[in-house]
Amino acid sequence: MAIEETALATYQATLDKLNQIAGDFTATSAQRTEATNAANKLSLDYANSHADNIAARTQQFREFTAYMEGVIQQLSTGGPLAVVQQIENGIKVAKTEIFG
Amino acid sequence: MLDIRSTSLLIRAPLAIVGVLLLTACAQIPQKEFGSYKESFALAKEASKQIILDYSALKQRIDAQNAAQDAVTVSTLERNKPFDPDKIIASSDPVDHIAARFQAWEVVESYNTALTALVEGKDAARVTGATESLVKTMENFPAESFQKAAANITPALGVVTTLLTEIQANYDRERAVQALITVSPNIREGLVNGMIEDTKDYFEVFRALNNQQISSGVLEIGNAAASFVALATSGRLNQDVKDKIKRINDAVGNNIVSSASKPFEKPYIDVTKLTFKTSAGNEGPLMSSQLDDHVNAIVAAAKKIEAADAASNDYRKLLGNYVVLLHKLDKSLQNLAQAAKTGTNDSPESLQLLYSAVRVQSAFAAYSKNAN
Repeated sequence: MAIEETALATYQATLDKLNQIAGDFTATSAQRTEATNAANKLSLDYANSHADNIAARTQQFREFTAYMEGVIQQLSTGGPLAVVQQIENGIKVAKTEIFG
Repeated sequence: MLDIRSTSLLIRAPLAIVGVLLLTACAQIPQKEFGSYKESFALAKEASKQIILDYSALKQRIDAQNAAQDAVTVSTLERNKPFDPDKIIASSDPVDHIAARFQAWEVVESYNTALTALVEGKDAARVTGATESLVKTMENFPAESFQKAAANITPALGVVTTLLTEIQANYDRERAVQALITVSPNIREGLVNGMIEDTKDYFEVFRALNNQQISSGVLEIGNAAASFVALATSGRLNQDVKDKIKRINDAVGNNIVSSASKPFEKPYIDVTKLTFKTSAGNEGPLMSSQLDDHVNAIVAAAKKIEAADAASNDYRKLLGNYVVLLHKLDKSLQNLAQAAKTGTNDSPESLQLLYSAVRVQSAFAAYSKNAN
């Protein structure tokens, strides 16, 4: 959480400075436009990083699925209770992998 | 999580006695309550889909900007890069994250249907049918876009499937209940928590695109103000110029300076820092009209920034309501699982779920109004 807040604060502080140039009527037109282009690029990068988080989350789960499928195959000959036991173990590992 | 020892005991329990006890308990469960619960669940699902679709629209805007940027940079930079077949293959088969989340909702709905059928005391065939539908939904889950929810639920569904075979042969409601209760915590940890995690990123993506709108408005103000100042200082500081500067400062200084991105000083145009000429170069109806054009452009851009600010607040409220909705859904599913386990008529909190869904839809309407 602290990392997210730091990233946001850095992004916002940089954006504020660029917006100040864009809104400064004593700057040249080229300077204002350049500052806005940089601000938009900065915001796009920030948006991309969070869209990547969503993608990364999906990818992470996909990898874990492969692991769990392996567990199921391994236990396919066992009874339901054995499967339940293994699933509980697997989910513990999942929590470590996903939330750890 | 399912207790292995208690399950073992249940399996050994005489089926006839369990059946009689459960049928007696089920007879007390009010059917109407679950009817309204199902409606609440359907509303919650639709409300969630609206949020996910809205993110999809935001993502399309990002993708369009990325594509435009690539078109400019790739041609010049590509020449110096190695040929990367892995990257080409990866980009030719994109993961549909939106479809994966929709599918996740289908899974929850199937689970909900199966559990509700059990709590309502439906016969074995109907319970089995509902649960098989859950399994089938999971099987159809796009393999390329599995989420943590899917990862967590898939193995538990293996248990459901195994037990269903026995349920069909010899109806043991208690074991079906146990199987679905086994899935219950995984629904929470996988699907519900995953969707709650998503909201953080939804908001930040929104924030970035919203900031682009603000930056665009700031540039419009800067350009119009530069033109205004150039024209206004070509003559004396007369009352007409003073009035127009006040309009600009009122629009920009008072309103926007309080926004998150503070691009302007207060006052925005400080007449004491400007150098006016002593001629009448800025006077006359034509000059006044031209100055007005710049003032109007500044006021319009300021309003655009205010609207972006308002949309940001609306979106924050919307996601807040959505998180509450997901929390209520989680509680409803837990209560439902508990009701299935105990055979009591514990309420699945359908009204609370319904209110949460309505609040999300209402917040979505307010957000859409300002966002467009």
